[in-house]
Amino acid sequence: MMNGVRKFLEGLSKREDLKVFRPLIKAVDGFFFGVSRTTTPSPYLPHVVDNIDVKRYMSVVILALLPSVVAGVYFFGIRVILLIVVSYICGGTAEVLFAIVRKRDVEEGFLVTGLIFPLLLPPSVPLWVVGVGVVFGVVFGKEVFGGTGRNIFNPAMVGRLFLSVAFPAIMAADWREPILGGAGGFLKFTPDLVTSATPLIVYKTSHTLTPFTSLLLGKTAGSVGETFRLGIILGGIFLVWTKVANWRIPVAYITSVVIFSLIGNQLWPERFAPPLFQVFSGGLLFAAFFMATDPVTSPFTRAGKWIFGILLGILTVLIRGVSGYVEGVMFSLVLMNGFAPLIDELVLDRKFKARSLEVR
Amino acid sequence: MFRGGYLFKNFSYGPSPILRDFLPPRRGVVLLRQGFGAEVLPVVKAGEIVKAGSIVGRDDASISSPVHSPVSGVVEGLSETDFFGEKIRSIVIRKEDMPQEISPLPGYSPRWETLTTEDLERLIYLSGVGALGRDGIPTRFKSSSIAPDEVRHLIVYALGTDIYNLSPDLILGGDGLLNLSSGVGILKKIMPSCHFHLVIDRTKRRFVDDLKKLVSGLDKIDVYPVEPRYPLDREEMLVSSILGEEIPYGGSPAALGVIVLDALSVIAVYRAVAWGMPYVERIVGLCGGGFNENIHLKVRIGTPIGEILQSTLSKGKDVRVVAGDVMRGYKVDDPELPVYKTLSKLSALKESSERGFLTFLRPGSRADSYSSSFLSSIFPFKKDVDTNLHGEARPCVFCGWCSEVCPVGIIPHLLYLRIARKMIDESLVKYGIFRCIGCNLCSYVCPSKIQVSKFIKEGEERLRSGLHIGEGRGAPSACCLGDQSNL
Repeated sequence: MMNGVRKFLEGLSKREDLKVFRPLIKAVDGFFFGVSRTTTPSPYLPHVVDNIDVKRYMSVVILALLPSVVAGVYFFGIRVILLIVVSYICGGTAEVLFAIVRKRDVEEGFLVTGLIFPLLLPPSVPLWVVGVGVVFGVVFGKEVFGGTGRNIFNPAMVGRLFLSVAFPAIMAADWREPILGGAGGFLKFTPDLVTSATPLIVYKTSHTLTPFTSLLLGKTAGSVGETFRLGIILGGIFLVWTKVANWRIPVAYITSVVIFSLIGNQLWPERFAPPLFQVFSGGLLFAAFFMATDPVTSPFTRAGKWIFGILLGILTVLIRGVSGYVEGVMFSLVLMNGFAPLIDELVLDRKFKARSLEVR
Repeated sequence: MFRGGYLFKNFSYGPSPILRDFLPPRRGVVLLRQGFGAEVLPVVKAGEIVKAGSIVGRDDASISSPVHSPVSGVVEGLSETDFFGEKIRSIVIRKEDMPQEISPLPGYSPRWETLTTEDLERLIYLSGVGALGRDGIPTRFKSSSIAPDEVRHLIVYALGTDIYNLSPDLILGGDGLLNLSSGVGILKKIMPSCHFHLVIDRTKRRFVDDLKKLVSGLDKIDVYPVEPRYPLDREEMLVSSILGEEIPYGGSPAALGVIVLDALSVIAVYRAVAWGMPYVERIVGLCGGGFNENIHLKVRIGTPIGEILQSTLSKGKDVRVVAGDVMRGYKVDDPELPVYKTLSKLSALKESSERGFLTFLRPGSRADSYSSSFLSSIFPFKKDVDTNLHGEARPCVFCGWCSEVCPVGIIPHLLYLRIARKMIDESLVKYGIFRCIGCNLCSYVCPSKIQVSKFIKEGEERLRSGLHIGEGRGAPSACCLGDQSNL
């Protein structure tokens, strides 16, 4: 049976009339049946290599996101699944079309982008908006730069930013009370039409702090994937433990937010919320573990990662505190993505200048 | 200790601590250049009868060590052997129906303390042991590029950090440790002003304690129990982690007045001096699933590898035979290639082009990975070893694993991207391309299956050939557009 499918795929990939679809056929074939290539015998290469590949690398991220996905469905209804499906179909189509035009392999990075993107959106977002956003993110966040590995900005964040600017009413105004108790959203399609405010809005308007346990367990309004913070932390620790995410950025980011919100809160308490509330509200934890750690759009040098995380923290606290926006994670991340190559350049200059002098 | 590196552990089919004699070959092929030193001159003629262990090639004028006949028999003549792409002359000797015992060197003594330093050095030189180690063992007979009194530090390491290693229990067990410390004593007598550093695998607690006791009476000697993290057993890493000195590019430890030797070489020194054993036999570990048994063989140097494989490889398996380390050894294509003085391991790796259903989703309790995304990082099952790439080639995603594991602190993916885009300029030098020691770990861990280390080698060669030096930093932008196919 398996062999039959494999033969069928092999046949498809040889057919001239389906030539344009080769990247898609190859992707499906590679996804299910792995590779037959062996290492090249050479003293400049190992004869045996690590068992990991990019597919598994990305699968680890998806696994780490599962608590957030399940919680998203529990708190905001089965419609969340529909958001994810739309995101995968629309973004996936864009991804495959680019691969066909470029005659290149379909790359696995989209498996993560396609799942992260709907988790960044408010639960009540219309399905067509999801489609528009994810296609924008894939095309203008990634493909225009030349595809996976060459993009400067996190594609999911680019899509999210585009939606915030293009549809502010949809993206910032309509927050729903999460479904609580019993089977939660597993048996409901959408939450009741009870509008609510996110903890950050509540703080900005009335200076009231949402209880810590509500923040941790996700009993607050917010984007689909950002509210169940316990799951995010567990997923994040898993990601760091597997080494798929580097620990330096989340540690630097969170520490920096704690320090600078502590300072801000001491000096100007009506503007800056206290440190723990800052860390456990909004999309901060989600971004710290799943988006700021995106290796392509963050610095690759060790020192660069620390600088990146620290600056992210300062920017987030500043935007949350003194700008007209309630949430600063998205803007600070996109801004810092743009600075990542510069940070690396500066770090490399210092690191390697010092070393070469030492040798002499 | 250095930053980075990778601890290989729990691989299946490592050699167990069993040593079996392998019969002298029907035909011995003695390479005239083995280990350190220049090619020596043949001192026998075709048709001459030689005894096992007698010198068949030596050149007292050049920096070299003699080579010996592995068998008692008749010299067939001179031949040329393709030694992994390098042409080396060799003497072919046909075994005859004669006693095959190895004849000892004259003047040896089990009470080596009574011998003069000149006698010790002569025994080391004549036994051919002098060719071991990257720079040879210094004697007054030009067996190394430096003289005994020029050696400041001598590092002896008893550890293996590759995927497969010789069994420490076999090398250090029995009389091994005792012989090792006697060997150290002999070398100390030759190099009295030299500081000795003994590096030993710390997971072998028993040996560490015993070794410390054995050398406690000697002065200027230190014992370092270390974690066997790849590639610590490379000279470059030992010199930098033990002495804090960096070997200049293209240089060797001898340039710094340092000699690095492995435990087996030091034991061979003892055997040469105390028993008069010429270096005619050596231990070769049989590693990997392709062999019937994973044991060690005591093989005559000069035995064609094909002759060993014929009786030890299991039939009907598609394997790749690698000489030396799995991480950086050569593939053995020619069965006529003889065992040489520095060959410690033969690995028969499963050549696996097998595809598997949804392999990337498997739990992987037997799959090694730098990431902890396989169950093998939790459960201590023996790991599978094969040559499959385990994934499709992808663009670099800057995961940073190559720079995390790099033992010399460079950023391999940075160099790779520049070299792949034909940006061959002095920025490669700035980013430390010449610090690369070729451990190949970057290629091992890469999830995108990029041949990082090969690109770095390519860049090094292009820089050295000088074709691109002087293009300046303004030029590379045009180079980016070049094709990448021939890399």
